[in-house]
Amino acid sequence: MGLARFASVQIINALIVLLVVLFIVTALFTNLADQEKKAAIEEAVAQMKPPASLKTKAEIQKWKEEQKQILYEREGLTKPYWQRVFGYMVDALELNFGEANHMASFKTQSKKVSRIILEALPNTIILFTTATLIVIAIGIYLGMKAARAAGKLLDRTISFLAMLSASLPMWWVGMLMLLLFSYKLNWFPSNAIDVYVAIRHASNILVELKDWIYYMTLPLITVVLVSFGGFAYVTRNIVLGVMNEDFVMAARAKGLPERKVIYGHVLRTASPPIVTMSALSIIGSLGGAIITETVFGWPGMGRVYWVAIQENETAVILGETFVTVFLFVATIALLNFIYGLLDPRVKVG
Amino acid sequence: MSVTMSEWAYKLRNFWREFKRQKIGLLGLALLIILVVLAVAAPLIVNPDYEKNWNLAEYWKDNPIDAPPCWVQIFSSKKYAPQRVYVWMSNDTRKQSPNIKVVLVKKGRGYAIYNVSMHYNYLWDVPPNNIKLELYVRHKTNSTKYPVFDLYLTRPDGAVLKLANRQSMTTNITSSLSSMNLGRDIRSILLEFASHYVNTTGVQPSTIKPLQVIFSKAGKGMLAGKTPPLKGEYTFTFKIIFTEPSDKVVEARMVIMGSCYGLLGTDALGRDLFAGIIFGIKWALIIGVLTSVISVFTGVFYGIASGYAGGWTDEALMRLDQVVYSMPVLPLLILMAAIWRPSIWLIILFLAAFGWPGIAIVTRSMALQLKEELYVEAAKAMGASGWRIVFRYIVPQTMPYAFASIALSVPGAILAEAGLSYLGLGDPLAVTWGKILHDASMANAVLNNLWWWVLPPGLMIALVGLTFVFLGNALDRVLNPRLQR
Repeated sequence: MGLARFASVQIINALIVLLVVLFIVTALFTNLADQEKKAAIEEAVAQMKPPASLKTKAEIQKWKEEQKQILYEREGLTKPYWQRVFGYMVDALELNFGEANHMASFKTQSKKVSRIILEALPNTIILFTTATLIVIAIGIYLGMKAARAAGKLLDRTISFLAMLSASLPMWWVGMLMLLLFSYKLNWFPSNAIDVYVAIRHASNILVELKDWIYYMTLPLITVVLVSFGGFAYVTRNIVLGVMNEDFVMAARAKGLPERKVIYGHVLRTASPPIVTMSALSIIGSLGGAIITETVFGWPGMGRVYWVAIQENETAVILGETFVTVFLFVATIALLNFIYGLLDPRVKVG
Repeated sequence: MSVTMSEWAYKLRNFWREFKRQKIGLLGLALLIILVVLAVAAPLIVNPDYEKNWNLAEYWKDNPIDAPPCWVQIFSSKKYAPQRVYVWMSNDTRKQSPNIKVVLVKKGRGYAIYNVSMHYNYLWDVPPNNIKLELYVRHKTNSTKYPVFDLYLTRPDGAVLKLANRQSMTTNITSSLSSMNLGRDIRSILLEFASHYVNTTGVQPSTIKPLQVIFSKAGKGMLAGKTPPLKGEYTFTFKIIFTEPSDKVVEARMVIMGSCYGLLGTDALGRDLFAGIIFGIKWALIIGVLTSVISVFTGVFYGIASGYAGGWTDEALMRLDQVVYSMPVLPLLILMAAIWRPSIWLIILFLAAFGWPGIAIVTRSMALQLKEELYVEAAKAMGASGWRIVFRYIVPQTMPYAFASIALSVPGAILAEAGLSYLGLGDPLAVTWGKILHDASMANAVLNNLWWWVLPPGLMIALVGLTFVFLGNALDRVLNPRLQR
């Protein structure tokens, strides 16, 4: 029962945050979205053919003005400001962001903004979930090892790597990887967006999978390379803190094998903060990761941002920001929930 | 007052004694001093006009395009032609380079013949990136009697190439060798020249690299750049016939665009990348330090206010904190920047507006602990106001944490701005490293293997970041000894 209550509190919390963010962003950009709509309407009206009964220029002008007003009315542009904000909020919640001017989605070449984003989203999720899982695995392994040999070479190396990766732009490392592995050594493709061309010729699912891996390897390595040091360092600090606790000494005194002490007692206790830290590291790397995608041309959210910025597609940028914020908040809520599962004290408190 | 002064001095001395033991802290401090000196001395190191004119392609037209840095010669057996500009001006004898000579050959009724010869002593292995010849003539307005000129190139081996034949000069001449077309395309001229030595049937003129051919010995393989370089004096001679008596040569220039340039080479517009790196230091420091100072102090005061006030105020402030904490900065920053194209100062404010919640959570828990301390109770009992307690007893206790946090949040701010600039959304007037990398990306610098354009900006971002991480870690260890591991 406690768990259900805890879960619902988390969900309600996340919803509140989401609504507040949504409200702030829409309130800020309502005027801009209005301007875009008005411009589109004006263009449409200018193209309209007035009925033949109208003769003088003034009459035609008046008719066009009326048409414009009708369209304004239909699009809800004549409503008061707060109602317009509310309208845009509902649109955003329904993923109704309108159409792009020139941009098209990666797969089906659709111009609908929601389609553009929804086709890019899975690619981003695939790339970064895979990367994050690898980072967590390497990070926990190295972090535990470093904590057990604090002050030794491995520990120092990890500390330095953590400092370095806090200051390295991930996307720049991506540029270097391309320079080295794509153009110098020619091992990997330079533009990952070609994956869609490649899989068109794939005869079966295995070949397709191979194509995806071939195009994903370089961005994946980049993300892992820049992230694992920081994660290992955080794990090391948490584990080191737990290892000084009395119960660990007690477990050792009982004569438990070291493996059991580390993985059964230390890691079990250290896991809630490690989960929190993984949450923060994933979220922290999201920004850099979005830009990293653009370097490799990976057909994900970052790539959509890049193209939308170059081509001045405001509707796409707006829609994409909403979706990213939504994912971000949802991820935090989910991780809070997992944290609660791992640490029984949180549920009660 | 004097007591507190000496107290401060004592504390400072103590702090320094502890800090001196932190090796990475000292390294960070040394790096910071170097960076600050470079940022302040930037106008002395590079021409300060460069920054104003960074986006003006016209300003950089005399520089070679995509030229590597000159120190690459150390690792190569080949010598690169350096950048040289030779100028001759008729009205200023101090600005008359000995390499350019303007001679009156013959004067008659209604005409005058001048020879403008430009000498270039080529002693290198890698030919210049390009050579630009410029000739400025004062021509009587409304007169249709335009000057006419021939242009010859004399090579050290005695070969003479006629680059222009009886061309009418309706405007001033500015022509570069790589794309010269004064009546005839330079590639066809070179092909004809080569046909005396090699079989040129079927060779497309478009495949010829003009500077490579001009500065190589004639012989087999000369069109493919396989012959050794031909060193010695090259002379470009303009033979000009004036038919309008008042016309004359005003200025002549020969720009040898180096096959290497300066300390860090040039980009696709010919911009001096070393200057860009130097300007970037200033911006990185400003962005990093300003953002983190504003966000850390906001966080500290917010957290203390929340913790000290307690009750519903605390609850409300922490809810707001949670909301801001859950917002992803970069997407919102991208949205804002894409629409308003803000200046660098607004970007700093925006970054700071998202940087405080984490700090606030920590200082709030500090304030919760501190307000229960006996000395705070005592001060309260003596009738001290809330403001006095906060500023006299609570704020000073949080300062060690604040200083370490300032140093540690600098890299994040620099990375965020660099990312934004890389997407092309930074302040267009500030020469930041992210902007240089954006330009590199737009010009396919990676594809063209222009490593001198891609490597240094990223290395500098990492270096500045590391400087502050080193400092922050050392400060953390000295000021917060409880966390020592």
